[in-house]
Parts: sequence; C-alpha cells; structure tokens
Amino acid sequence: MKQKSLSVWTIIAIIVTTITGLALSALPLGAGSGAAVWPNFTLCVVFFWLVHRPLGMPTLAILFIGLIGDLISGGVLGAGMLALLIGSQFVQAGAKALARSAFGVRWFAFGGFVAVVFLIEWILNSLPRWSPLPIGVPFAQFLVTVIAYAPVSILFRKVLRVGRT
Amino acid sequence: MEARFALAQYRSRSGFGQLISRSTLAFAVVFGVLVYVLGASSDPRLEPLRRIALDVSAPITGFVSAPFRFVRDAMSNFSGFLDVYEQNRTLREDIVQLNQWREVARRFEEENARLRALHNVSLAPNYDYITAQVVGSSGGSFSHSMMINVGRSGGIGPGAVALDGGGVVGRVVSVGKHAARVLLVTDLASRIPIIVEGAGKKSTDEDTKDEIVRAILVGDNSAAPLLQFATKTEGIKPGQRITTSSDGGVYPKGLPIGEVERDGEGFRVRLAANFDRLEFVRILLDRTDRAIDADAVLIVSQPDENSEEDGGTVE
Repeated sequence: MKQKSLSVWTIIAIIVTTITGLALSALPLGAGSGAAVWPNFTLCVVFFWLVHRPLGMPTLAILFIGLIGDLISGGVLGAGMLALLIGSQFVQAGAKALARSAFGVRWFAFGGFVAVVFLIEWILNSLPRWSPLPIGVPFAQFLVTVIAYAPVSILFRKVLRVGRT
Repeated sequence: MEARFALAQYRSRSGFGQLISRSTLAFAVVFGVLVYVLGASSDPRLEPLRRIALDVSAPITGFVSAPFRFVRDAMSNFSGFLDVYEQNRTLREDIVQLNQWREVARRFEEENARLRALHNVSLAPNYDYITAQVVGSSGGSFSHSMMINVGRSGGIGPGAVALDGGGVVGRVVSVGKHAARVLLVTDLASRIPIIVEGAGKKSTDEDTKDEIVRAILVGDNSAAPLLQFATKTEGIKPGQRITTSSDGGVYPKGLPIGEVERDGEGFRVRLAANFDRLEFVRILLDRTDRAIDADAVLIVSQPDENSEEDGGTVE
C-alpha cells in the first residue's frame, strides 16, 4: 500500500505540534518532588504522526526529537532518545494496521508504546548509578500520558481535517 | 492547497529502499548509543550542546507556559482577593513589628561597622543575589532540574547556588548565554556537604570549640533527601536545623536547607524551600573579598535625606 505523501499543511502541523509537545512537556508546574505529574506530550505527538502520517516521522526525525527532549529535560543525555527510537520501531511495524483500527485499539497500543519507552528510559537512567530508580513518579506519569492521548488525538484529527478542506 | 512534496515512497519494498531504511536505523542506533555513553559519563564535550539547547528552549518554554502561568496567577489572585481584609490586618501588625526590628538592625550595623573599622578586618566573601524566573522543569520523571531565564549575561556561572525564600533549591550545572539549568537538591545526582546544627556537644571549656556534626545530603528523587555519612549520629534529632557547610568549596557556609526528620533507622531532611510553587529563585553571585582599610560604611540602604529620624553614614 502506498503511503500518503505530505501536504504543506501537514508538514507545518507536524513541526508545530512537535515543538509545542516538547515545550509543554517541560512546563514549570512546580519543580522536583513538588512538580505536578504532567503528561509527556512528546510521546503523544510522535505516536500520532507515526500512525497517521508515517512519512512525516522518519527515523532521523525521531532521533532528533529524542535528543532535543533529553537536552531540555537535563537527564542522562541519550537515554530518552534511545528509548523513543526503540519504542517507535514497534509502532512503525504496526502503523498500517493501527491506522485502520478503531480508536480504542490505537489507544491501547499507545499505552504499550509509552510503557516500552518508559521502561527503557528507566533502565538507561538507572544503569549509570548502578541502582534502580524509584518507579512511583514514572508510573504516575505513564498513566497521565496515556489519559492525555485521547484529547490530543481528537485535536490532531481535527487539524488534519482542516488541512484537507 | 494542491502542492505536494514528492517525497520518496515510505519504506519502499524495493531492495534499495530497504537498504536505505536499515542503514538509517543502524546509524540512528549507533548514534544513540554513542550519545548515551557520553551522556552517562557526563562527558564535557556535550556541554556546548546543552548550552545551545538551553538558550533556544528557554524562550520557547517560557512563551508556551505563559497561558498556564496566567491561569495559575489568576486563581491565586482570586483566592488572595477573598481574604484581603485578613491579609491587610496581618500586614499592618507585621509593619509595626518590622519597624522595631529595623531600628535594632540599624544599631547593630552601626556597631559592627565601627568594630570592623577598629580592627581593620577582612570580611568573608560577600554574595550578591540575582533573581531569576523559572521557565521550565525537567519534565521527565527521572531527573529533577529546572531552567531559569538568567545565564552568563546575568553574571552567573556553573556552581552558583539557587535559593527561594525558604532555603537552598539547588545549584547551577549548565549555563547558556541567557538561560541556565539548576540541579535540584532532590535529584539523584545531588550531594551537598551539610552541618547538623545542635547535634554536636557544646564545649564547657573556653579554649576548645563546640563539636560540629557534618554529613552529606544525598538526593534520591524523593521530596526529603537522605542524610548520610554523618560524622556522628548520636546527637542527631528530628527538628534540628540543617545548613550548608563550605566543605568542598561548592556551597557557602550557613545557607538554610531544612530540618531533620526520622526515617526508620536513618534520617531524612524536610526541605525548607517550597518546591510546589517555585516561580522565582535567587541565584547567589560570588564577590571577591574586600578588606576594610578606610572608615567603616554602613551596609544598610542609604536613608532618606529628608528623614530626620534616619541615621547617616558613620564616620
């Protein structure tokens, strides 16, 4: 099956949503242990475009987004990037089937994608310290990220519809 | 719009397409592993990259967060408006008390200045403050840091200490031109030499000094960092005040951090800084020593010339 080529509107939408997702993920809503548990919008953005417009989310773009995400977060550089890269390979493998499936299935698949990314990130962040990191906050962030995908997905689909008209 | 980009067919089934796709993936993985190895070993070669990212991302994050800050401030203002009368009454009482304290402080400043001049003392390093706005947090759940909107242009450098109204928040680890990253005391990588005030034995002899209990404050991504490697644990009790020690030369001595609280067999520190609403922080700017070699001068702000009750410069 031939993949859809990208309109100018879609390319702009992908760039703007990616930048916004990265910035929203680093909102200053408290800091450290006092920070509100906030969704990782970058994962929502990457997953949506991987499924609906795979051409707009090639491997090198994912690598770049992961690198920027790591630089903004100030964590172990490369950990988030590798986790996103590996997680996205699973989504790319099933992207065609997911694009045709019901929303519930896509949402479930997004949960799996976030779980894989968080698990790899947790391992890669624990390795340099030779001790497992606490999993409480990452698990809470996993839950809010999965919940956040539903409104994000609805909003993005409307953006795509506007582009068609 | 009908214009379409003639991009190559995604994941073409042709052999060449597959080769390109696999080569790209292989490159991405190798690059990712390389960056991770360098990042995990805190290689300084990555520092310029972090600085550029700070300078680029800080304004974007600040811009995107503006509506959220507006809503939060509006909610805060509304709740403040509801108890404005109560606040007004409390503030009037505080003003009366503070006026009394101001007079006491002036007398002490004057006395100190005279004594310093008499002894020609060299003061300990002085510190100035610069206030910075928090424009971004680490976002991820694996590290505790935040971005501030002051960088080298504001005079701060790596190692500068960040405080809020309550106590130490963290220290600057990466500095761009107009932004910097502060590693919070709660982060796993944070280690701070501290003093447990009141935990050592008081000297009964005038010739010997009081015993000082030193320890290391170890961040573990929790709200209350661990108190470890104490020189002596017998005297440590919940509620005792924790301040920075100057061991290692990273933190100035005596900055408030928090209070001891018990955690099973060990101890943790309940932080004085309010991490829930960290909007602004003060960054300590180190100044060089200055020796008083002339007449002493009051450090307090210059009084109003028209005011008769205010004192002037001591001569």
